[in-house]
Amino acid sequence: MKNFRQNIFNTEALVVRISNFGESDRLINLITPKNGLVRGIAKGAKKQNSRIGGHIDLLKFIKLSVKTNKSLCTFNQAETLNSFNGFKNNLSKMSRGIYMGEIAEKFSVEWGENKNLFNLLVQSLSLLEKTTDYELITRWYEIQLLRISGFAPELNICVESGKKIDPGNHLFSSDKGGIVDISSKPSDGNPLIPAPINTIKLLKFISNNQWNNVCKVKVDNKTLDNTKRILKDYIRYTLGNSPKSEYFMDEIIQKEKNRL
Amino acid sequence: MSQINSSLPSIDRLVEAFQRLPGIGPKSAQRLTYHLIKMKREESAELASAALGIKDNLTTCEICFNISEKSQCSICSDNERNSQIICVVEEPLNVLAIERSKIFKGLYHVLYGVISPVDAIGPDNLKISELTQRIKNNEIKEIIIATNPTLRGEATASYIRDMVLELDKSVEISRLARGLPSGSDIEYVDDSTLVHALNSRSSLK
Ligand SMILES: [Zn+2]
Repeated sequence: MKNFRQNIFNTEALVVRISNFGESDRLINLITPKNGLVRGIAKGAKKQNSRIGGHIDLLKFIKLSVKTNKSLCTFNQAETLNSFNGFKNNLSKMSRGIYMGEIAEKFSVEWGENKNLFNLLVQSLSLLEKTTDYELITRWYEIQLLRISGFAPELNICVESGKKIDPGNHLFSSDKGGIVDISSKPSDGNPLIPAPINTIKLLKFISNNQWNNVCKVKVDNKTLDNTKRILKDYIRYTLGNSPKSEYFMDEIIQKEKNRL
Repeated sequence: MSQINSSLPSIDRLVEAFQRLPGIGPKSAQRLTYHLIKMKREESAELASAALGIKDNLTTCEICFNISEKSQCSICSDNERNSQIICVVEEPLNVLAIERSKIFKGLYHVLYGVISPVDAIGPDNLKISELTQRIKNNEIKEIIIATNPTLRGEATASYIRDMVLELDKSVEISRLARGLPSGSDIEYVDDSTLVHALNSRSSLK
């Protein structure tokens, strides 16, 4: 609730949701460093002569002025800091970027300060702009986002028995939030997902390293697929449902595979 | 939104009905209602019958999906127009805007929206497979993609480009030029900007 009494403030923000409202206004959800998720309205943003409209679009990194209100904020005086032009004409990047924005929004709290989440999102979008390792950067982003939000998966200790996990093929439990030792008797719950030795290694590595180290590793497709399966299921479990943009992202991934 | 109650049910009913229109708040709705009270009975009848008329007489064109009074709209059934060029737009209102510019002589294809993954709107929710069928069944030389210059408009344009290229590599694909302010809406762009954007459209191949 910090800053709520404040009437007008300036902030950096990333646009994660946008929709038309009335004749020429737009409803916008922003992620900000100090105020978390901020929802509001940009009046006249659809109009050609709008001073704010050109700066407000999905996944734009902007600076703007926010006027707080009991229900909806109003946004004014925007300027673009980065419009991630590298996404242009590239569906692989756009679909992953939109997904990154959606899960960042889902893990954000209205008016809840979260500088790390904001910085991670902005950083990941600019990395996505330059890399062709679309899948690996998405996994890195997912696990970093989970870690920042307090949902880091337990990868060192068996979430069933509490024993240290030895190198080997084990299982992953989304409802317990971590690795289940292959030898321990799992209690009833959601089905466990296979976590082969290389998948656990990759999960640990991307969890503990920055992208400049992660981008150097060579990962085989099978390990990448297993890692994706685990993180996808764990995020769905944590959020209570699947991110909506996942469906479109997967359609684009299928098209990428067909083209190869 | 505060509700102003007149304590006359027939007035409140119309005020409420007006308020469901885009851009009409409680005050405007009230002003319109009180204007209607002063109108002659025949004028009110004409307004009511016109409002019903668009429900009873309108359909979508079976070729381009623009709003039409017949199964094929006046643009699609106009022999003077070039049926080998299709301009793809988000909404029927965009057809009106481009027609106003008077420089486009091809046909249209209305998508009814853009790809918006966050809202669970994917290609299957738009008239994209219908566009594929049109390209398959007709001799099409060029597709002009006139979706809005927004990220979702760009994503939709890229999706259609990939789809057309998979289908027929000989079809020209272009996108409205960047005369359009980013984040804007074609509905609100002035005619001269639109003429420039159409004339200097860029190839998407
Ligand atoms: Zn038609």
